[in-house]
Amino acid sequence: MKEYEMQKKEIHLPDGRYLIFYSFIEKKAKSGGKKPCPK
Amino acid sequence: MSEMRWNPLLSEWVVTATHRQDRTFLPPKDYCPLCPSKPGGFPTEVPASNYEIVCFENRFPTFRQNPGEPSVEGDDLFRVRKSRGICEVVLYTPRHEGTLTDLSLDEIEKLILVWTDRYRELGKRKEIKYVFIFENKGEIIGVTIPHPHGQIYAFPCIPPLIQRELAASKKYHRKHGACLLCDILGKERADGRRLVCENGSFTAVIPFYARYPYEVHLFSRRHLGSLAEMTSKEQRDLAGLLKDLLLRYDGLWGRSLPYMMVMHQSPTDGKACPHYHFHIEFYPPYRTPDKLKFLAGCESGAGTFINDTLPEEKAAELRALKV
Repeated sequence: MKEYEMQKKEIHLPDGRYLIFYSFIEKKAKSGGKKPCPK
Repeated sequence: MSEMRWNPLLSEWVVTATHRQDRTFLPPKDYCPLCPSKPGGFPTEVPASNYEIVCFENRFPTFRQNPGEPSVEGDDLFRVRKSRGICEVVLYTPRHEGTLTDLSLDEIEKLILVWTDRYRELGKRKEIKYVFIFENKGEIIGVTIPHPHGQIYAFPCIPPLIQRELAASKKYHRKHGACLLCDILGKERADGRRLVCENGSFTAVIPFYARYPYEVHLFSRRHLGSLAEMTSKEQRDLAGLLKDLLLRYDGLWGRSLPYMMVMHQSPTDGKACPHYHFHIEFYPPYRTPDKLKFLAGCESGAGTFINDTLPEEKAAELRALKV
C-alpha cells in the first residue's frame, strides 16, 4: 500500500487571499531485516 | 455585501451574500479560472503552470475572515451579525475535463489528505465552529464552473442540520448507551436490502429514511467523528469506496450523474461529542433519467420530503451495477 507525505506551499494572491499548493511524495517502504545487535 | 440574519421562527441563521450574484458563470473552456495559468495565456486563479491539488479562499465568499458591517442595524427580534468565517475552493486536479469519478485511486486518496488537513487547520481557529466540506456537481445543481472542484465553508456556528443530528445522536446515546449511527449501520448491514457497496472500512447504503431516490450515505464502520481520526488504511478504503460509488452513479444511466456531496463531521467548537459519527451524504437530484426531484411545496414549505421511490429498490439497482 502506498503512503504519501504531503507538502504545502502557501502564497498570497494580489488581492490578499491565500492559496495553498499541495504536493505529495510517496513514502519509502520501511526496509525489513533485523537491526544489528549493539556491541 | 454579506451578513447573517436570524430567523427567530426557525431559530436559524440566513446568510445574505449579494456579491455572489456577480460570480463567474459558465466561462468558455479556454477561460476557465480554475485551470493552471499557462505562460502567455489567460491568468487564472492559480498562478502556476501546473499543480496537483490547490486550495484557495473563494473570490466570492459567503463568509469572510474580515467581513464588513451588516447593511442593516439589528435589534432583539431582528438579530444581525457579521458573516465571519472562511470559504475555500479545493481544486481536485489541473485537468479541466472530467469529474471526481475520473480521478485515480491515488488522486482521491491525496484529496482525502487535503480535506483532512483543511478540517484540522480551519477547525483550529477559535472563530470556526464547524468545517463543512462539500461538492456540488453538475449544472443542474447550480455549478457555475465545470472544472472538478469542491468547496469548504468554515462556519462561525454549527449549521442547523448538523445541530439536529448532534441532538438526536446525543439523546440516543443517553438512552441506549450506544452510537445512533453505529446502530443504524449495524441494522442496515444485517438487513442488506439497502446496501450499495462496502469494503473493509466503509459501507454505502441508501438509508431506510432516504429523502432522494438515489440518496446514498457512506458510513465509516469504525466509530469516528471526523477525517482527522482515520488511519492510513481507512483513508485508502474511503478513496476506494468513493470511487466505487461514483462509478455506480455514472453507470446508472451511462452518463455523469450530478449530485450534492456533503460531509458530516464533529464540530470544531472545542466541545467533545463522542456520540457523533462521521459520514458522507450524496443527494443526486434525478429520480429517473430525465426527471428531477424538485423540492416543492411539501419539502420546502412543510419540511417533509416525499420520496417517489423505495430505497430497497433503488439500492438494488445501484448494487447490481458492475463497476
